[in-house]
Amino acid sequence: MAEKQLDCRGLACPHPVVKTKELIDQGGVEQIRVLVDNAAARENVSRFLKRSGYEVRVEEQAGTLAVIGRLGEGAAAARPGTVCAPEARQKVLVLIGTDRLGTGDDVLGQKLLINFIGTLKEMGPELWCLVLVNAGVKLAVAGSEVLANLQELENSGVMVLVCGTCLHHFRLLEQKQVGETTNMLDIVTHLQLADKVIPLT
Amino acid sequence: MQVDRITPGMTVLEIICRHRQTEEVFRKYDTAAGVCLCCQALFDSVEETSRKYGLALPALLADLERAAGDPNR
Repeated sequence: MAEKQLDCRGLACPHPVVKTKELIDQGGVEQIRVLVDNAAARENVSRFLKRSGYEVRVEEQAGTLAVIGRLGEGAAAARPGTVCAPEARQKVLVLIGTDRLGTGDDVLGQKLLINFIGTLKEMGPELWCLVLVNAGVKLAVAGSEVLANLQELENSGVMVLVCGTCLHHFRLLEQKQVGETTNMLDIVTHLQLADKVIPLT
Repeated sequence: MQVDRITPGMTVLEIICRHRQTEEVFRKYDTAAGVCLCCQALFDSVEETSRKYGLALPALLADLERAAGDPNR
């Protein structure tokens, strides 16, 4: 697999991310190595690559940090100029827009959703991203009965995106305990990158 | 000249990518925020950033739009 390399040592944020974005936007970048020399650049480039569908790892050698992104198999098919691997693992995104499952009885609905979140890990490595919107953001705050489950998912590598507008609406911005506060552009981008979307609204 | 509007929901990264001259504006607000905004808030919306770091959103947006409208700045 051809690897593109960017030397962003000596550059302050946001330039390492901007340069990485410019290179990726040209298309056909299956693997990329970005050299940086500070923690903020490492974090931001890693975060940007993950959001762009890359699997990311960081190597450190003699003070230089190499952020290496490899395009996820599922995302490869969606990008121009790339070839889809025959045994591609799909990326599953679960969109949760509620704090209870189904209608009929709210207490039952809340129990069912707790059970649902607790069972999500059974999807295994295909579970790529959880997006919490509207009342779904209440799951990510202090006191949520599924907070530990969500934290476990996040620690295992599942991306948890929490709608910032929704947190603000419910006045829960300060109470968020898991996931990354995000905006609609991010949500739409992740929906586009996913191979399968499971909506729970 | 037609200028893309900068909205509160746009991220710092989006704004800088579209209007490079706005980086200077964010740098100007670093002191008030107490952090490097381009380091700590790159993926946050301007609205979230202003709320999180106690910045005046209307003033920040106005400064960004002014910079975005002046490519020579």
